[in-house]
Formats: sequence, structure tokens, C-alpha cells
Amino acid sequence: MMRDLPGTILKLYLAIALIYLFAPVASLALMSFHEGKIQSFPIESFSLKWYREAWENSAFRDGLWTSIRVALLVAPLSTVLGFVSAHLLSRHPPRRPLIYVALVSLPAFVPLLLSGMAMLMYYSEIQLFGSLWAIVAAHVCYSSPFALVILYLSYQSLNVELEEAARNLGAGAGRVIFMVVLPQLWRALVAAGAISFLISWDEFILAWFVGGFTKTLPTVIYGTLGTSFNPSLNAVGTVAILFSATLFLVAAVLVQRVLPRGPDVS
Amino acid sequence: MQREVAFHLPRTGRVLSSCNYLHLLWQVLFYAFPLGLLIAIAFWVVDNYQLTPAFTLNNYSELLAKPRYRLAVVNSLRLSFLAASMAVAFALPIAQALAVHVMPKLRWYLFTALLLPFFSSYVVRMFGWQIWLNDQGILSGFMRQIGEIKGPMGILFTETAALVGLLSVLIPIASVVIYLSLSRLNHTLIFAAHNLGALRWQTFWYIQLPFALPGMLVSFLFCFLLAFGDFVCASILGGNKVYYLSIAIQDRVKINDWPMAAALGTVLLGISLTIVASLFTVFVRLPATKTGKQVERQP
Repeated sequence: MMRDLPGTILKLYLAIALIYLFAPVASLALMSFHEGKIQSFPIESFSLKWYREAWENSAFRDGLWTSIRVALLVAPLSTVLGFVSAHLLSRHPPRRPLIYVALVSLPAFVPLLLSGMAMLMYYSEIQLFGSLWAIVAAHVCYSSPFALVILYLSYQSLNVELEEAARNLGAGAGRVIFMVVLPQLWRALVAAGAISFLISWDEFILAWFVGGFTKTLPTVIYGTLGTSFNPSLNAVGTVAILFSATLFLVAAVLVQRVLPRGPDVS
Repeated sequence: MQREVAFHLPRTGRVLSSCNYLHLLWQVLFYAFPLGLLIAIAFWVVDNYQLTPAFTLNNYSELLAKPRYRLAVVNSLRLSFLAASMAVAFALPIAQALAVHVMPKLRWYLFTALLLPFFSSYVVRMFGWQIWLNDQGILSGFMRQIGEIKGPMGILFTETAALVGLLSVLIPIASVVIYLSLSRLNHTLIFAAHNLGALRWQTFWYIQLPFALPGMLVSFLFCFLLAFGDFVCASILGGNKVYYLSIAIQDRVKINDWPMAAALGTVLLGISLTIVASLFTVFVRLPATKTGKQVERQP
């Protein structure tokens, strides 16, 4: 026991760090059951009152609905575009792959505040501002680089000879993609879709700039924060986070199966 | 890169190969053009409440002349530097624990736990910190109960609060990146060092730290980048009292002074892209394996 004293200390540190990282989420979940209107600690009585109140609040419900619709559109779009890039980079690499990657993944590196401003100006020029599609376009720009990474990494584990065999047996390029490549990548595709969904679901800044009066759930939450304190925010936040956590776990299980070892075909 | 595919039959059809650049097309249409427009707007003027195309450097000279903007840049740089270096310092033991002291089976679960808060709504998490830090919050309630403070705590809407919030976002990223570079270390090196009589700190200093360094550098730059561009945390927890660059931009946007906002934005963009470029350079030039070979030769 004494021999591994540093190890014990490090493990203890790890536990404390995890508590710190989960603290904001935990407090939110705890406070959402707090009955009183004024936030205070310790909690006196528990109830589900604020959940009901949040559900009856039409702003939150509309935001939830918009968020779901946006994310459902973003997930397939960003997965398809990410796949296009992954395919291009793995099978028909452009002359300068690094420059291509830098160009395509720029939105993931530039501060979102800037992207948001730029998109606001430009989207109002092209009459896209304020619509659901504006948020979708912005979110696809931001989330597709992440889909690209997942799909590119699992594309690397595919066996090229299978594709060559299919070509030699007379399959066209499209047929190879749909019948040989895509079936092998299904886990990565689902994972990329889930991550894109998640990014869109959580993203606030772009949606805030570009959405105008079309408000997603994080935008509604941020808007409510500015005004007087509303305890049903706790309940909304808890639900939003539970939803993200579930989705993240699904994606994590799939990514873990995809990345270290290739899919079933060896 | 993959090896060339041997195509014995007709090459990819024309329709399909034109699809190959769809992603690039999307990013250019919906991202590169807006960014270009923003950079252009920095040279425009607001004339009679109308944004008019022009070419003037007035916005930039105003930016340089007004001390509040310089202060905003300095404040942002300071906060990001503090946040990034603290994140790396706090993350190093986490990465070390994950790489060496935790069973491989448990490792995946811990990873998921580390990244779980990272993938849940940013705004909501920052709001969660408000519950901890505000004057009726958990922290001040606790402090009052143990009699440490009497009145309100006044920690919310300060730089400390912004740091607390930022660190909870940055530490998971930094620990994963540092872990990745630590995990390339061959464990026989550690055993060899122990066999040759090295003390624990010596093994750490001479063998593990050189492996962690590239990861530390990359994660520092990455955290700096994230902290520098952040405005959600600065406005929810920092509360506009300390003037940051991102808040300054947001203020200009609020009063529709787009040219100034764009000019400030290009400053933010310039600094961020410099960081990204150095990040890529570090990534290419300093792979952990290179450092590893040097270490192997030393004894």
C-alpha cells in the first residue's frame, strides 16, 4: 500500500477532478427538485413542480421543438458531407490534402462568435437569416468537420482490396460505395450522425446570431437567463443535459467499437 | 495516406466525382463567403445609420487609439493565458493517473465520464455554475454555515468565476490530449528506469514528462484558442465587469456598429489563426515518438 502512495494520491485527485467537472450539472439537477421560488441551500422540500411549469411554458416547448427539427436535419446532412470528404481524402486524395482539410475544417477552429457575426451579415444578404435553414446551414458548417474526423479514421481501417475486387467484378463506382463501403462503415456513420446531432443540439452562439426569431432551446435558455430568475430553467437544463448525455453515451459506445479495431471485415 | 486504388475499369463516373467536392462547396458557400464578407466589412463605414461599402482604415485607427479596446485585448489575452496554463497544470495529473495508475478496463469509463460534461450544453453548464457561485448559492450557503463569511460572497461576475467556468470546460480536453501523448510511452522504459535505480520523481522527470510535453503544448494552445474566443462564459459568469475582447465585439454588434465589430473581429481572428497555425506546426514537428527516441538514447 505504501509503495503506491503516489498512485493513490493521483486516483484521489482524479475523483476530485470528476466531482468538479460534474458539479454544475449536479447542482442543476438537484435544484430542479427544489420547491421554493427563491433559490436557497440546503433544500427544504422536494417536488416536480418546476418540471410541470417548464412543460407548460410555450417558449421552452417551441425551443425544444425547433432544436429537435434543426438537429434532425443537421445530423444526416453533416454525416453525408463528412463522408464525402472522408471518401475523397482516403480514395482520391487532392494534391494538397492538408490545405483541403484546413479549408474544410476552418469553422471548427475559428471562434464561434466570429463565425456567428459573419454568418449573420451574409445570411441576411442572401435572405436566409431568421429561418430554420439558416441555423441548419450554420450548424452543418460547424459539425461536419467532427463527422469528417470520425469517418476518416474508420475509413482507414477498411480493406481496399474488397473495393478493388468489387470493381473488377464489374460494379460501378456508385455501387462500390453503396454496397461495399457504406455497409462496413455503418457504426461510424451512426456515430458521426449522433455527434453531429449532439453538436447541433448543444450549440448556442451560431443559433443565436443566425436564428433571429427562430429560437432553439439553448437560445431560449440564454434569453431567459437575462431576465428575472425562473426556477423552471433548472428543470429544462436538467432535461437537456440528460438528453445530451444519453446521446453521447450511444455515440461513445459506437466510436469505441469503430476506432481501435476495424469493423467485422478483416 | 492510403495507397492508390488500382482501377482496372472505367474511373469514377462524372456525376459521382463531381459529388466529391460537395463538402468543400458547402463550406465555401456557407462559411468562407461569410468570413470574407466580415473581413471586408471591417473597411466599410456606417453612413446615416446605413452600412455602406467603402475602403477606410478609420476603424482600425480608432481601434488602436481607444485605450478600452487595447485593454479588452490585454484582458482577453491574460484570461486565456491563465485559463490555458491552469488547465494544463490541472490536467497533467489526470492524464498521468489515466495512463499509469488506472486499470485499462476502467479507463474507457473514466474517459466517457471526463468527456460527458464536455458534450452537454455549454450554456446550461455555465448556468449550473451560477447556482454554485451566486450570493444565495450553494458555495456561499456552505461558507455561511461554517461561519467563514457573513455577508454576500460576491464571487459571481468576477474573473475568478469566469476562470472556474472556463476550467471546467478546458480540463477535460487538456487531459485527453495529454493522455494521448503519454500513452505512446513504452512501459518497459519505466521498468528499466526502476531497475537501474531511478527514484520516482526521476522517472517522472526524465521519462514521462518528455513524452507529455508535446501533448501539454498542443493542449495549451487549444485551450488558449477556446478561451480566447469564448463569450458565453465571460458574459454569464464574468458578467461584463471586466471588459473582454469578445464582450467588446458583442457590444458593438448590439448597437449595430458593424464595421467596428468586424475590425475587432479581425483582431480576434488574426490572433486565433496564429494560434491554429502554431498548433499545426507543433503537431507536425513534435510527434511524441521523436522525443521518445531521444530519451531512449540518453542512458
